[in-house]
Amino acid sequence: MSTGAAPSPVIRLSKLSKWYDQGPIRTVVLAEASLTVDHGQFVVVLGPSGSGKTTLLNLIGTMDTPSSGSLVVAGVDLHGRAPVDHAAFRRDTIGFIFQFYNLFPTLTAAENIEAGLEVLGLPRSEVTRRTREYLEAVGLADRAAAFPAQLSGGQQQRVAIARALAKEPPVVLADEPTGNLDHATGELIVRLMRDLNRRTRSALMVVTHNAEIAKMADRVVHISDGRIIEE
Amino acid sequence: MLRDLWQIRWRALAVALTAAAGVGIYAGAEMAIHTGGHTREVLLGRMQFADLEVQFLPEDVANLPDLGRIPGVRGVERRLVMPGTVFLKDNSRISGALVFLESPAPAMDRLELIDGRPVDPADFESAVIERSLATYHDFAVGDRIRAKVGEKIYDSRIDGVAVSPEYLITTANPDYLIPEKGSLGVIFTGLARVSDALGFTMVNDLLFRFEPGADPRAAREAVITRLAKLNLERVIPKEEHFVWRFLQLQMEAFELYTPCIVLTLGLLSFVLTFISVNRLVLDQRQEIGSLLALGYRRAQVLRAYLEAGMLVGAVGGVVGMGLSLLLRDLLVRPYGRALGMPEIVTLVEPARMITGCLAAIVVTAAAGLLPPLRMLRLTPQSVIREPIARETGLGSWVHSSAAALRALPLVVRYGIRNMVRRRSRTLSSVLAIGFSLGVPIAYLVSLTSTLETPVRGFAGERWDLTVDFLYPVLADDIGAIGPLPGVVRVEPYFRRFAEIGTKGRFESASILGIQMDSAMRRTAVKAGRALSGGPDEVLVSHDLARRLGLRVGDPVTLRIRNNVEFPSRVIGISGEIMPGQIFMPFRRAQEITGFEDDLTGVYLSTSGPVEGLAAALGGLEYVAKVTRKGGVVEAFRKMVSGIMRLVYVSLGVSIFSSTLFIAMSVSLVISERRAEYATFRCLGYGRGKLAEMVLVHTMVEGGLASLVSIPVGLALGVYLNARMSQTWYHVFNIFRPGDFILVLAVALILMPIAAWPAVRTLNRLIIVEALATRRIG
Repeated sequence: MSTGAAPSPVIRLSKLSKWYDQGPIRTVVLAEASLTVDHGQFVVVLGPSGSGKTTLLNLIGTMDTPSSGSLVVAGVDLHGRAPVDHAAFRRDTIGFIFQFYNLFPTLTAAENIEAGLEVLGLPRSEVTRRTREYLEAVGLADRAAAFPAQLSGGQQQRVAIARALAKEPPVVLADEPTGNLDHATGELIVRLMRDLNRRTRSALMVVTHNAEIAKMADRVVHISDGRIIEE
Repeated sequence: MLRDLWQIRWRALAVALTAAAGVGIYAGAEMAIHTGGHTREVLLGRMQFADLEVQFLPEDVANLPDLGRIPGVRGVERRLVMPGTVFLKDNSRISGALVFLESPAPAMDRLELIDGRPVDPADFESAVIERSLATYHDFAVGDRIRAKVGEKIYDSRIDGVAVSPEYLITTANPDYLIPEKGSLGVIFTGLARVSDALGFTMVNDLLFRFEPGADPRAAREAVITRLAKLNLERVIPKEEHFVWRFLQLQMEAFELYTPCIVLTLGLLSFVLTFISVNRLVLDQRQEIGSLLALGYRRAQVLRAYLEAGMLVGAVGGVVGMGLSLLLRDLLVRPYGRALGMPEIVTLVEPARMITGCLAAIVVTAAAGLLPPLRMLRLTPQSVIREPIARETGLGSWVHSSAAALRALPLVVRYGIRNMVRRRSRTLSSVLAIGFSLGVPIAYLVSLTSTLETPVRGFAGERWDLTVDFLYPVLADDIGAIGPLPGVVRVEPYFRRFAEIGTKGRFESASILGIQMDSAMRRTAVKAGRALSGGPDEVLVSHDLARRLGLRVGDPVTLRIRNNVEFPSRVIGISGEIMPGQIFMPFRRAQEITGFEDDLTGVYLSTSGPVEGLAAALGGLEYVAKVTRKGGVVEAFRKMVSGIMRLVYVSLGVSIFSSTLFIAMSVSLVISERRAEYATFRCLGYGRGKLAEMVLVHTMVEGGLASLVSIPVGLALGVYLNARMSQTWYHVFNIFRPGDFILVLAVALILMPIAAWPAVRTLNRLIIVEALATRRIG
């Protein structure tokens, strides 16, 4: 989904909180986080393990529901929205990149990308065109028919990036995308994500504890103990 | 262990239910079958059923041989039994028999009064009716009832209604071994009534009770020797009597059917336990590895899984034991009612129930032991370490078919390839479900074949009615039959009692002399050839061949009245429904029995409705009974429909087990691939799409199993037909598409229901948690 340039922020969260109650004990994992991200921006969320950065990503990606606060993504106010609507929202708005790639092992590289496109209801020819285009963009045109088990970790992550970006969503969320890769491959992957982010004008939010990635970002947000402490 | 079981509680429940179904069917069907035998023994024992009945042409008691001190015989009873017709209240008639008793309270084949009082020998109008006339034709104590024997009408007053051991199951024509509820009206009255009219006491039926421990065969031989001078028509040992034999046949038929379903349910329980425990073991590999690293012995780890398997089996076994009582009653009571049995004496077999329960425990324990056994061969470190996905873990089929599958929608491709990804499990599931569905198909194939074989056989016969005479009648004296309205053609036959033997061993049988150029009859030949008219040739029914071990070409001896013997040769074995038959040319049957000019019945081909003609034939003085071909076929259909109950029960159990199996198999797949489905959700796939994926998996697995079930059903059906042929008559393999379609359609309709638990699981999937499992690939 191509949004084109728009002046308003694509992600806007205000005093967003998430907590879990276990009897009388309340565990706050995200506390009144406020943040805006513009179209095309490459934002890195840095923080140690357990700081709440993945929770932040999950809330923006509607994989989890906030306990309080407001959250507007791509113009959609997600506050109070029924979870059943989230699938359509994710389909149209969000591209996900996971640490462990999460490619479907029984689908080829091309089919994994198609899996993200077919659900949009695009014509078959458009699905094929975009699949080819993004496979080329990630440098795997010659590995289209390979199954994930036949690809290296870096190649698998490139397929996952192509899958997330091929549908040209307003927002791409990446959770530790280099966490399972060696240093050199990780750097290549981040560069690739940044290049594609510039090309598609999607907002790219990467959650990591790797400070090296932050160097390539437009903007870095620090998070600790569930609070955004520095921007 | 209990915590582990709770973790897989639904799968454990499915295993327990499948095992329970197996135990229930095994013990329930066996107890139902044995209840039939038990009821027979109890009722016949209580009513002192005769060990042997000998029927002969009516004779003055003064001319009977001395019946005292026959070796092995404890008691004898004399009766006059006259076949005829009984007038019902609307003046219509049914086949009947008048049994003239010497004593109102016979010592053998006792009558158990259920209403009124016994026959009053001094009152020539006094009669007791067999309960069928009361139950199915509304006769009651105090009513008048008329019966016609030959040309004479006996008008009686009903003083009592009784149960007779001879007529626990009634039939108008015992030759065909097919019961017809309410088809025969039996009236018991005093023998003096005939003696008074004739001036002497005439009997034609003797009942014998053997000494306890006497050899029945020797005792029967002794009786026949003593009665050699009589014109014997039938010699019926207890085991050949319609009631005894029919129930025996039914029990043997049911016995044929039960092992298949029991073994299949055992297989299902085994596979289901195996894949459930295998999943559990894989999930717990780190715990297992840690325990081994801490110094726990392998036997200790194994014991935990063994106990889990045994516990599930025990739960299934106990539930199955309860279920068996329910199934026993479900099978035996309606069937007993359908046959018209006066009562059912149910049997509880604790040993069988416990055997079933133990078998369930052994099956689930063994299946629960195999997965940890495989893992415990590894070192603790290897157990702990997650298995590394193989480079070509998907198998070459997936790769080579990738292009071919591209035309299919993605959800279908995904479902199919996932099945290939776990080839062993898919194969075992498909085979297990295929066998489970194959069993009811086989049952239907076998029953269709069993039913259609004689139906087609009868359809090939040209006669519409058979008319049995009371006694041999001169050919010149049956002239009245031909001109009757509706009669197109008349063809005589000759039937007489004879013994057939080989190597000094003899069996009671019936000679049936038929025309060589018969335009009416088509004798079904199972082995050898048909009669050609040769002087010594006989064609024997296959039950006789089985009992005497006869083969085509074997010499046999026929023993007729006065122990005159005739050497003969078996030229063929018939596969007909009527047991105990020796087929031979009509002329030869007349000659060897000494009735050169007589016949004992005729086949008639007719035009138009036969009801009026049957009534007119019943009015002829020498006619004993008239049998309609359509009536025999109809009765046969009714009887087979009784056996169908087992098929429907088995169909229900098989489809229930298959559905359960698929539900568990698919649920297992879903739980293994939670992270993949969570990823689909992240990509924006809605619940409908995910449900579609589950349905594809379910339907493809079910569809493949359905395909497997076809050859399984065919092969098993052919096997059952072969076994049925050994038990009863020769059954041809008849395959009707409807039998396959019925099972497969029901299964395929129910399969989406099997997908429901998995769909429900996916609907409740918490994406974040599922992704955290990181179990992809």
